[in-house]
Amino acid sequence: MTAALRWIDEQSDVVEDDDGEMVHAAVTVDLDIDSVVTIRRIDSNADRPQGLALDADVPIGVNGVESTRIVLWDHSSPDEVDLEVPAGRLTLWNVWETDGAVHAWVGAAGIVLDEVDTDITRLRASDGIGHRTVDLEVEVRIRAS
Amino acid sequence: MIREFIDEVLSGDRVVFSFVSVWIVAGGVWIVLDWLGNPNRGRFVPKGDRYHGTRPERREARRRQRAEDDAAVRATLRDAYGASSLRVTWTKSREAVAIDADEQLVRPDPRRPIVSQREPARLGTFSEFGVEPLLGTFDPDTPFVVEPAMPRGRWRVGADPLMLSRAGKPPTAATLRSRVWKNHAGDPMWGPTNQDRLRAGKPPRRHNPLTGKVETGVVDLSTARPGWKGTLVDPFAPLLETLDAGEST
Repeated sequence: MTAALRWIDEQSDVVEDDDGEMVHAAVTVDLDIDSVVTIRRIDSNADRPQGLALDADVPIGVNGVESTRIVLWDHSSPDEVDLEVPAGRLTLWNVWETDGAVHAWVGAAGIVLDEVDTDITRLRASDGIGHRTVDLEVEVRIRAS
Repeated sequence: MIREFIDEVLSGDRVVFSFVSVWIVAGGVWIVLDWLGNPNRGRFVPKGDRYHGTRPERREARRRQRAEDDAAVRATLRDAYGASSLRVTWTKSREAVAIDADEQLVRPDPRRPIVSQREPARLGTFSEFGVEPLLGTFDPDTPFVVEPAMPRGRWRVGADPLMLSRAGKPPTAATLRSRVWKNHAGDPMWGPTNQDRLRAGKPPRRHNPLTGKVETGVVDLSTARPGWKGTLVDPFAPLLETLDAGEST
């Protein structure tokens, strides 16, 4: 059973797979102060557009645009992006595009977290197609603004 | 008092006079009302169209005129649709042909088009984005035949979900959604459980960690594309795409 199905059955955002890895539907960070979140894209699957979606309580500022829900696509955004995120809750998850539609949280989708450093977290995300693979790999660094 | 009235008024010649007077007055009133209430009386008829003859001749002329009017209506309908609605041969299939003809705004050519030996000229706009959909083909050797923009007939899995019925009716929103999901049932992205739902024409489900609830997929009725509610803004997209209200997820 895929992680996407278990998220539904267990009504949970995170499940443990057969390899003992915790597979997340999304990653949520509570920011106590206004912060700068740096997203560095390490790798992405070129077969289809891969993106990192972000949702915040208050608008996120990036590239002169302010919105509470943004997506950083591998085909349009730079490899490293600084986001100005006010204090509050920030949620990250991966999305992909097929047949002109953006999808998430279905099929083999899931995110595995690796803590690289105290302030840096690496996200290895799989899109929903085929078996769970690493289709998008990013590093997230959070520091006070 | 009543007896005096009967003796003086309703006796002898006076009764006859009163009876006749009442009928004459009633008749006069009826003639005046009939004259005022008939809009056709006194209508203008050109001098050349006035028919002078005896009463039976005028009646025969009116009957002939009505018959000609009916024949003209039937002939017009027959020319337009191949049948007259005034005849018993008007059937559902003829009605479908008539509706098709109206929708195409041209009369279907009953002749089979002659197969041209050379490549017909294609009417289309070529641009760097590709070829825009064709509205029809033009060949001077064959009569112009409109090509329907959307196929018609019985829909099967794999066919265009926007396909029209045999009579040219577009699918309802529920039918369109069901067709879209059935067409996507073979996509391995959805997983086995969702694939079973898609095969039955039901939308896929997913757990949304933002809301903590299970949500179902949606279909864009204009493009027949599956997707999800909500929008995501790409801050690095070109300006036109940003103005296009983001993308759904």
